Amino acid sequence: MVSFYEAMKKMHKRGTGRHKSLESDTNKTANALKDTLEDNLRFIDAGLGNSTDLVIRQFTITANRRLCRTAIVYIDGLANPQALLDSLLKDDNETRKAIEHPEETNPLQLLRDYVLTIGDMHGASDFDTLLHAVLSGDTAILVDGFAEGIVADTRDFTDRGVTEPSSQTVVRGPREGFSETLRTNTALVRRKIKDRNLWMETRQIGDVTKTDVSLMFIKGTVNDKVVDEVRARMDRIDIDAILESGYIEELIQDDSYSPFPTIYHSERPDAIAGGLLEGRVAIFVDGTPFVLLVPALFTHFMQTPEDYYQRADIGSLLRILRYVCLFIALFGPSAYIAITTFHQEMIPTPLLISIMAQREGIPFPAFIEAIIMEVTFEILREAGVRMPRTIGQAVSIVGALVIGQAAVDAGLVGPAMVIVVSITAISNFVIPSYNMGISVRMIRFIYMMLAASFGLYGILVGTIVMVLHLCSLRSFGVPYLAPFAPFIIEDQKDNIFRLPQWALLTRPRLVSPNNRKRQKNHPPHKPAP
Amino acid sequence: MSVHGAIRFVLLCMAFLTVTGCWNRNELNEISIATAFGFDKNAGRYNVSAQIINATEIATNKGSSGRAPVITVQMPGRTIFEAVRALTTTTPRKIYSSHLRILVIGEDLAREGIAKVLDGLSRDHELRTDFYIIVARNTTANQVLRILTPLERIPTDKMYSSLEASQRNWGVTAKVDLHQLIYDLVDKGKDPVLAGIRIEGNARRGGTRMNLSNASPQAILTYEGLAVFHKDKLVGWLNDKQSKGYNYIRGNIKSTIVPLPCPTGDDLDIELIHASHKIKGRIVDGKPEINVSIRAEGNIGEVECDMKIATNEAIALLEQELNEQIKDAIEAAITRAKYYKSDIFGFGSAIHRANFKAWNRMESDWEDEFARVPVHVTVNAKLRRTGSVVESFLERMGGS
Repeated sequence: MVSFYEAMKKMHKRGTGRHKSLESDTNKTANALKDTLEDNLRFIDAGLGNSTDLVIRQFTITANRRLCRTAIVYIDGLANPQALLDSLLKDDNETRKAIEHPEETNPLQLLRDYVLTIGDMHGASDFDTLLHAVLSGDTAILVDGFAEGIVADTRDFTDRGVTEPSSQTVVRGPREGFSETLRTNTALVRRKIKDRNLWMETRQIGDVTKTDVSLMFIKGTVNDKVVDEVRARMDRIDIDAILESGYIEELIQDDSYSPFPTIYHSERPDAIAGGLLEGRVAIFVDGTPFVLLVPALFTHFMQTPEDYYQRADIGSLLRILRYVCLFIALFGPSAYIAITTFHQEMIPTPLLISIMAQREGIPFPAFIEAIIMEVTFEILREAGVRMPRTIGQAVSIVGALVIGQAAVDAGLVGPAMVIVVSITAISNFVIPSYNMGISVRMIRFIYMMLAASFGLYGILVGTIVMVLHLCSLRSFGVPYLAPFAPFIIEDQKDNIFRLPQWALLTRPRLVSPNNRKRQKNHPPHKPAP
Repeated sequence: MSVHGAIRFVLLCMAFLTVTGCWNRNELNEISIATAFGFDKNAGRYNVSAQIINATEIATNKGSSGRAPVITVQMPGRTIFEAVRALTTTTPRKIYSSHLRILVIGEDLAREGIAKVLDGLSRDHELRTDFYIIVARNTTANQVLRILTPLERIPTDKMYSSLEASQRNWGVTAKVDLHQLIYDLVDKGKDPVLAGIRIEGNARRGGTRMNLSNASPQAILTYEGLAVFHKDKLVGWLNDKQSKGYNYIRGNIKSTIVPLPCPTGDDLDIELIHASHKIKGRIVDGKPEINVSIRAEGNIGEVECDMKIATNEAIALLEQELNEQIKDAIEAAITRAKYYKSDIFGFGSAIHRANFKAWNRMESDWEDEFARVPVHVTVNAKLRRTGSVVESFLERMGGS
């Protein structure tokens, strides 16, 4: 197994190496822009393999009474150069624009300074920069006789728009969600935090996809070491493609062999903004609505933004409920197996008699019974996620049959097991983070096996191992179980309980050690009568 | 996780296998729950009966199939443990006794001595010690366990809840579990008592389904009196009044009814709502003495005579009478116990607590000493309320 993995890695390295050397050869020979427009355009066209969505529009402008052959290059569908063309070509009286600024002799500079009405614009002197810009949706302007070009931001591609996030819904709270465009996403966060300390830096990751990945943090609040660590880990990434933030997550997470996620992700701008304000680092990846947040602690996966929008008592109760559900989801079927096969003395007599009566005639041991039901449920859940929306109803009908009365009537499972599996499944959905929910699902099966062979003793030993493992985890240097272990008394204000806003005076100690004070509020008091 | 780590993990998992844990894995459809055991002795051999639950019959919601809700099996054996194991030859599954709620001891065995049969029960880890022990009066334990009860599907449940309810509301029975019984047996200053159960009616018919379909069952199980033990041997019975007296002294009364005679004849009932007790031992001139003081509170529960009760004098009179009645019951119990030379009240322990030197002197012949010990009973009973009405409507009818 290991050797196979190593071999794969080697092959992978060799592959990227070849790619690199090819690129550097090109660099040496023909990376710089040529003098003639003709050569440049031919090179671009050939470089993109005469792709049909590449648009090259040539025209002539009159700059200081001199005719200049000019071309704009863009990708159809990514860019909308209408504004650019307007400023270059249209005039009130004539069809061709005459530009008169005798003090400026370089026509490119002339265009930049006096003509183009585009905000974001920069020069490009080699094909790499130029093509990358063009492929990102910018429009390149080339003028004959100059080995230089202008790249103007004309990105305008179809965006899904800001819609309600489907994976994390709230009853009370903002309904906007991230979309697939990096810029939209960063803007959504900036709209919430109008602070000059909200800093952002972008890099391209992926040799082929050249995906924009942005780090965002609040300077002064964030732990600079964490930012450095994130930068270092991002710089270490050497991969051909980043299609989703999951790629980044897997490449920079602390422990690949843990079932527990150590990086939080969300498609809610308010959740990300909240994380930034706590001193965490957000990682935006172009092309996905899921934004990463590090460091992520166990307790974060049990919280929702809505905890802070509802009043404190409601928020606290819901959090307690979630922890209860976490335990049901983890231990539900295993506890049932352990108690009914090892510790019958723990069940009240009338209940035991009733369960016994149900189990009469069921051919399988409780463990097999539970496995059948759990696997059936996992199948249904997976089918529910993958299948086309239009046949969703079919699955719910079938689902109600296979994990319902029909299964009981068929004599495959007992009614008590149906209840146990159902409450386990429902409890699992209460865990707010989908990826934490998946971890719990996986671990549940281990517990079921332990329960079937060792009873409650096995569950206990399994729990000890799990807690030890959780204690050993770290997320970007912060202990995963904080503030449970190490126990931080002042951070308990926002852990299982959520105290009222005026009591949340500090930021989490281990996440933002530098800038701890959040606010100075006093508990509201009743006006004097 | 490195290869090294993986090896360590596997070793760790294997270490679990060597640790003792819960190895008695039983699927629910491989065990039979016994809710009651009955011990008898005849011809020098124990006879163990077990009441085993027919779970499908009990838990069914859709009418019964006509099968009995429980079956009672029996097996003779040289020892109890042997007989219990031998029971598997008559039952399809292993008998699971963690849910044991009642242990019935036949009167014959009780008269021979119960200590020996209790050892196995206290030793076996599968048994909990919170089951109640009762004595089958004038019959065998096996006969008691054969009776089907109409209201509770499981006869054991009927015995169990009836014992609890009567102890709480009537106060003539005694809930004694295994722990309590063993404490009483080893305590030199206290002898055990157990509740007695009797079959009323036709015992043979009581074991058939007919007993369940009749509005007035052919045979029913009733608690009657307390079995008095001397050491571990049954020596006699207390009647209801004496049993109540015993419970006053032991502080087991939660609530009970005390009937009082009216001055005009007829009856009047007091419902006791609270009773507390105090047993004090003393040594006076080298002789032991016991003081028993009872405080009780009661309400007037029923008045069947025309008596004006809304006066302080009347209440004081009734309180006086109530004191007398309670004292009478207590003294009856003491007299009876002295007759059996069986210190069921724990007077010996009271002496022990008061003066252990004197107790050490008289410990060896305490049973004789007990028969002579003077017991001073003081009762302080108060009437609190008269119920929803004050005067009985009987009075307004102008006397009947």
